[in-house]
Amino acid sequence: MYPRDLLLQERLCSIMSAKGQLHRFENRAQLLRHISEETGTDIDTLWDEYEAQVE
Amino acid sequence: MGDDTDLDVSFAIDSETASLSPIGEYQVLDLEGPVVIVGDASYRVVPVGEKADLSEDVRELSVDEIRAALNELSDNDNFQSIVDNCPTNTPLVYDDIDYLTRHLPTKSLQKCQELSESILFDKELLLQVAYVERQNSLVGHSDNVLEYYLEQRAEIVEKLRSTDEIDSEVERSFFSYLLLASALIEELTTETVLNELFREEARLDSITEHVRSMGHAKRLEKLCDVQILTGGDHGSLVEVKERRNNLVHDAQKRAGLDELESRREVARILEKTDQCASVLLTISGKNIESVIAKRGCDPYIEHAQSEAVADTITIWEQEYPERLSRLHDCERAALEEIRWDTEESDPKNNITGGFTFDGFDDEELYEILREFVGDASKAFLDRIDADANESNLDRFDFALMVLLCAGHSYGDIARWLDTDEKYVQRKENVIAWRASKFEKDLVEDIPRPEDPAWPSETESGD
Repeated sequence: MYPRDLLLQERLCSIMSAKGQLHRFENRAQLLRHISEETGTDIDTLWDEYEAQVE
Repeated sequence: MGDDTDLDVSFAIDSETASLSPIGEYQVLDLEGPVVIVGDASYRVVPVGEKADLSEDVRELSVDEIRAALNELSDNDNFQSIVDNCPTNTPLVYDDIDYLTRHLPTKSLQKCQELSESILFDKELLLQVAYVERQNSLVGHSDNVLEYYLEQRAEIVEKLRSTDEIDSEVERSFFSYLLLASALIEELTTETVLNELFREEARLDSITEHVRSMGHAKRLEKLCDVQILTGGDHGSLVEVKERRNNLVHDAQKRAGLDELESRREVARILEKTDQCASVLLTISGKNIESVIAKRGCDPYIEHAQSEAVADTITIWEQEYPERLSRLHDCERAALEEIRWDTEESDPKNNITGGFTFDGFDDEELYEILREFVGDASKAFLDRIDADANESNLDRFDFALMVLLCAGHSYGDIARWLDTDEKYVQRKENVIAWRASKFEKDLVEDIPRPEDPAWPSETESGD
């Protein structure tokens, strides 16, 4: 196993604790629209959170 | 031998649009729950059905504890064997764990249970770690080879163009190119054989081993037997294999590039080899977005364009609010209804809906509109990519279904998807059995095999 795979696993650990389907989104818009529809959170808020957290 | 003609080389694989997802940097965000960003793509757990209950929370573990457990797993043969038996995809309606426990052989599940007793992870988390590892290693591998292939292809073309004769640099570069092309072709061939012949069982390690032990020639033969590969393409792929073997095993031939005497001859071989790799990229389902975009059925194109426009509005609201306002404020524009002719190569100049062009010309507004449609057309390909991944059919079958639903002839579909007409006919039967609600919602009417399809009299009996 390569170090990068270990890194991914480590970072995916918190996600993998949830039951459900691991879903892939191809771009930011797909992701934020999906989260907004699922949780009811405003896209503007999600966008700001995304921008604040992304390195 | 010198060659003073202009060197024109055109390739089947478009490096601009080839779907590359090499392993990149990862980031984890908290957006109403954890999200992992990998390049442009992202991963998130989506609840299945009505229930969205959480299992025990691994976040209670410390980072050091998680790291120690992962380190232990990385050197563990039993864990690797679980990974090797994991699928790379699960059906939409199943919870991953529910599906995995039914899919994996009893031995793998027993190993998982035993392992969970010796490390901090419970058996369910262990299984999900293995599943992600399987997805990650498979998705990353062939796309990385494709990336190296495209780089090497660019290098050999540049070398060919910058010299008048075939010198040792061209020979070395060509040899590297051929090795990478062969690696890419062999990897995609293996993947296609597994997808095509074994389906579910392809996700079992023993079956994968069986396919790997067949040898490349045998695998190509299998694909030809089931007619996903045409006889002509099979012949060309065998030629690539023979050329590669000649150069690898015979130093003299390698030095003279096996009697390729002019730059033009080398260029033609590059084009033929690239065409072979392109065929495999298509039939393995890796490069099907542009065909669906151009030839897909109307309900699907409408769905994908509508989603792409909504995605683009989401982005523009944040990044270009002023330009978006210009479009919103224009009475001639109905932004959500913007559509374009997907059969044309330049969507920006082929807008078919959502804007009334009658009336005064406003070049500044038109330019904003063209930029919007340009972005939407990229989001359109992303949406097709996402739908193909999400479908319960595999990506190539998904492409076939969307084209069959458009009412195209078997022959045209076979030509666009680099496969045999007979294969398209057979897939029509398969899709009738296997299409799920997800696909039915996207295309409305699933094709229905009706008339008998006998071989034409001109076709030979073999």
